[in-house]
Amino acid sequence: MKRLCTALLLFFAWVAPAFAQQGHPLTGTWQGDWGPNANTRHFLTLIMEWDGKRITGIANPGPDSTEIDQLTLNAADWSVAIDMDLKDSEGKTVRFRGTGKLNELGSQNRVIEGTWNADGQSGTFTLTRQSGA
Amino acid sequence: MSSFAPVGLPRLLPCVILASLPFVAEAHHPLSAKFDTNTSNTLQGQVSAVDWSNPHVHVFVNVENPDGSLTNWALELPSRVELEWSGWRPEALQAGQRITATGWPALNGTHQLWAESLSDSTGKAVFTVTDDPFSKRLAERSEGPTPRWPDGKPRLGPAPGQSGFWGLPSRRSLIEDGQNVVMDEHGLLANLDDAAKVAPFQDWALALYRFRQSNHLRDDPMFLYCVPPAGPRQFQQPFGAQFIEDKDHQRIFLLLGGGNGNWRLIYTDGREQVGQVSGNDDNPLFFGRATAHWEGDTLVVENTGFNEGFWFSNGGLPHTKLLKMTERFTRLDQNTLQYAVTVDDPGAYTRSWTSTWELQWFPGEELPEYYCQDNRP
Repeated sequence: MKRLCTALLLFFAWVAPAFAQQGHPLTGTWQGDWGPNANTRHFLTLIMEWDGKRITGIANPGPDSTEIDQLTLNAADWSVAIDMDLKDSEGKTVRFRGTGKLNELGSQNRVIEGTWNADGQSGTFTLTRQSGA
Repeated sequence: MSSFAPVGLPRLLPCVILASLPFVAEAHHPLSAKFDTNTSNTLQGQVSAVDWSNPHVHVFVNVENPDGSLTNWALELPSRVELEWSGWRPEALQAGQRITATGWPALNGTHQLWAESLSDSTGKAVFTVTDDPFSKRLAERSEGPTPRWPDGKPRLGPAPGQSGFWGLPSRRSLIEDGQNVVMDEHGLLANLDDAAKVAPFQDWALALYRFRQSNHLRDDPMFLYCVPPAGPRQFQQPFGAQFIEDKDHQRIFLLLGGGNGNWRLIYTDGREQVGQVSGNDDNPLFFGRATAHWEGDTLVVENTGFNEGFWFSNGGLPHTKLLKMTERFTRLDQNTLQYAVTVDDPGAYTRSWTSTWELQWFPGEELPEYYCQDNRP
């Protein structure tokens, strides 16, 4: 069974990029976390869509889902700005304003790393684009 | 320069196969993406195996090190199809033969060399591609008017009892008609500053195109993962395309000689752009959905429903799922097919634009067998 699982993992690790998205660099599902320090992190999922004029999307799909109010990509330096409401681990809504940089542009698992501030707090966030999504 | 002693092929073959895996995963890039084209190395050694495959033939050579140990080098060559078109067969080089190879070493420092020249122990060149394997065959063609069906429509494929396919595209990357930009057969720009002339890009699309270009196209999913060369790219490949016109069912099969033996369907029965080939708005396809009609002697094909999982042109021009593509096929005479594609993608471009090129008829031949996966794990 362990062998089968390993084989399946290897298979999907190889196959998944074949179906990966090659269009607008932000389109797709991104997963990561945000928090004020290394010990306190909140899970974060963003689903982003490009309609030809603007990037839209939702955060944390499910009961705590929120819409992204503003999301911009500056292609001159691949910087990203995100403005949205988020619910933290206690269910409290906070206003999340993040700025980051899109890295590993040629990879299916591109990464956005940056900093945020919300309600007087600040910290870092990281998002990785999911293959096949 | 090194030399060495023979090693038993059966013992070495598993190692050869294993060792080749990383190479083929990067195969068929622009050479500058994988090899240091500014450095020339020469190796001498003994052939341990010949992998007669697409997208690249590999010759494995044991090179003796100063301490007497052996290092197995992988010499990369053009595709099997190209070598066969130049008259070569794998038997021209046997395991155990001594050879000399000169070429470019791999950028990543592994034991790989793009063999610009390869010669046997007598100094005779082997596995060299003639400068133009097409010119002789093109010169032997007979001229003639556009072949037609009994109903007067142009034949896009061969007449009954004949064979042939379309190849040798005059343009190897999308570029807007009227623009004068120099690029190589992979769509790699001679001058990166010309990028904005290629098409009316949106800002992000131009930046991404420039990134892919400056990266020597090494992230191309067609080469990395054998993703289909869909969209206009199917007519930019060296190994051609073939039309099978199925009049009874009012549809055209379009077979591709490159990629991985891909094909697509073009419906000519007047159906709507919905519910075909299992594709719909929730299930976009590599080749999209295609319906066609005739305008005079031109077959006009409307395409929509593309996914974003591939590069739709050599050279790395981006597209989005908003892409709508109108193709116009006109057989100008027996030997010439004009292909014009209008790209309407408001997700990546500021306006619609058109690129036009020609393909040549290769009579008496079927599409070459070329599978991207030939020497993949």
